[in-house]
Parts: sequence; C-alpha cells; structure tokens
Amino acid sequence: MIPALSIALYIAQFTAPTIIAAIQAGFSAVSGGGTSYEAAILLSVVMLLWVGVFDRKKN
Amino acid sequence: MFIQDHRRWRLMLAILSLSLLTVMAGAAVAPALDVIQQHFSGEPVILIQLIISMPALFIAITNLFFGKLCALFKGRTLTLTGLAFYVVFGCAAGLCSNIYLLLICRALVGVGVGIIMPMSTGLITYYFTRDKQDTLMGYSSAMNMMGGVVATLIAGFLAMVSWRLSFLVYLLGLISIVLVLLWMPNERIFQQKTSSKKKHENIFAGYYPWIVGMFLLMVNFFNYPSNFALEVSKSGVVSSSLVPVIMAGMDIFGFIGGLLFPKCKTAMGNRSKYIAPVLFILGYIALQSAGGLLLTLIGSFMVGAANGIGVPYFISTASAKAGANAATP
Repeated sequence: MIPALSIALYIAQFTAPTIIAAIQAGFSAVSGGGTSYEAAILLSVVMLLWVGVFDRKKN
Repeated sequence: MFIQDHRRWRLMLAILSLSLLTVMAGAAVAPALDVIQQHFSGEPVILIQLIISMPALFIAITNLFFGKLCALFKGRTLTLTGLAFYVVFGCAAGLCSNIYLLLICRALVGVGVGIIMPMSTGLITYYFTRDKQDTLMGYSSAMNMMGGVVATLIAGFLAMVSWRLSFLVYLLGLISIVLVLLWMPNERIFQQKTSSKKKHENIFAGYYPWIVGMFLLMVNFFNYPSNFALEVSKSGVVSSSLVPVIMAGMDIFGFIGGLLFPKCKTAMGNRSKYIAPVLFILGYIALQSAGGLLLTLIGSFMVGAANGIGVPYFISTASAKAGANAATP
C-alpha cells in the first residue's frame, strides 16, 4: 500500500502542471483569465470535499 | 546523541544521507525556473514546468521495477548506480541548450531517485531492529525536508549567477556517494516479490480514498514549486532574489507541520483531515491576493504546512488500515 501512495505522490507531481494549466484554460474561457493560484484554490476545495466524503464512507 | 551512541552509526549516516536527496529532487531547481524560462523564451511554458515535474514520472516508473532491480544487483551497487544517475544527469541538464535534451536528463535524474528513494527507507528496515526503526524513520523524514531547504537555497543562489549553475545543486549527491562507498556493505538485501495485476487492482480498490487524497494533496502542493517563481515574476510583488529564501521558508514550515502532525491529530482527532485542504485554500487565497511580501510569506508558509501535515495524515491513516502489511506493494 505504501508503494501505491508513493506512486500517486510522484504521478501527481508529474501531472500537476498540466492539470493546473487545464483549469487555468477553463477559467480563461469563462472569465478571460486565471492564475495558477485560482486553479489551486479550486482543487483545494475539491480535496476538502473529497476528505469529507471518503471519511463518511469509511465510517 | 542517538546516532553516535549506535554501534552502526556510520552505516546510519550513509543511509540517512540518501534521504537528503529524494522527495524534493525534482523541485530543487524550482527557484531558477523564471531564469530558465527567460533562456527558453520561445518554448511553451508547460515544457519549462516539465523541468520540475519530469523526474516524478520516472521515479514512479522506476518504483514499479524496483523489486526486479533488487533481484539483479546488490544493495550498494544499486544505490551507487542511482546516485551516479542523480549526480551525472542532474548536473548535465545545466549543459543543455535544447529543451528536449534537458528534459531527457531530468527523466534520467528521476530514474536515479527512483532507485535511491526506496533504498533510503528500505535499508533502515533491513539493517536496524524494530526499536530503532521508528526513530530512524523520523530522522529520514526530517532529512527529506531539510534536503528541500538546503537544495532550494543553493539552487536559488546559484541561479542568480546563471541558470546553468543552479543544476550543480545535484553535486550534493557526491556526499552520499562517498559515505555509501566507505560505510555500506555490498549485500543482496531484498527478496523479489511477485505481484499480479489483480493484486494491484485490489490495492486501489481497498485504498482509493487515500490514494486519490494523496494525489489531490500533491497536485495542490506541487502547483507551488511549479508556478511560484513564474507568478512572482509576472506580478512583481516580491523581488525575484527573495524567491529561493521564501521557497526554503515554505520547506521549513513543511518540516514544522510534519513535526506538529501528531499533536494536531491528538487534539483534533478525526477533524485533523480538514487541516491540509483548509490551509491550502487559505494559503492560495493569500498568494492570489498579491498583497505584497507579508501575504506572500503567509501564503507560502501555509502551503508548506499543509503539505507537512497532509502527507503524514494520508500515510498514517492508510497504514492504520493496512496494519503490518503497509510497506509491501
């Protein structure tokens, strides 16, 4: 299980710029611009929802 | 001191020196990213960001074959091979004037770290008894973050002279090469484990909440080293000479966050799962507001602390579920 977490960690490092760039492009299409920080705020909210949801599922 | 009191302290130092090089291997040259982008100004930004993230992909790929490599080579031989990749291709990237050649060097650094990283913890469990392992794992984790601080500062200051020089930060691997050559025995240390596709599928099915959580955590965190230097350059709110210092400060807060995690978990219990995402949200809001040095510092430190708390949260909660089999694939 630890190696699976380790692979997730490094795959995330590799894909992070692409994911952030894709979200920024989405923001640009909607509002005409967007920084990497705005994309990160959105992803942080997704993470907040994820930890809330999966923990409820665990219990 | 624990290390000097131990009869195998030389071996311990050799193994712990590996931990200095691993987690932030890709991000070591992040403070130089803005200068590198200026040199490769005609290339897409995503290629420039790949300089930071490319090693991670090859670390993950090499991890998949680590068991097979261990079956073929003895421990010291394999460790020295990984370190040689780290030093040679880490430094060679600074000689490249073609972005694609540079990215190939970064991929080969990833292969090196993909060997060094499992060695840095695997050798602890192989050579030391259970009662020493927890302390050494703690030291190993602290060395990870300290490696980030040292590498970020050195690379940042070298980048002020030339972006090419910033890649000389990978010469830090020479320290480990000397220690491993002198003090590590050359033994066959791991047994190859067979794993079927079904087993990997079961691992994902059983642990996907933590695997996806770790993925989201790292995408959020890695946005910082990938973009901070570029965003600062665009907004101009902070002098670019402060970038390496701020990024090293972020690593220090990650180190502090990791140390505080057990206390946070005791105090907040199950609600400790919210600490990392909330710190990320507040940190990136502070950075987005671009209100000058103070908010940039607060935002950076919050992002570092979020990572420092989030990583042990996912590892410890998943390990609690896995029990004694946590370390096996």
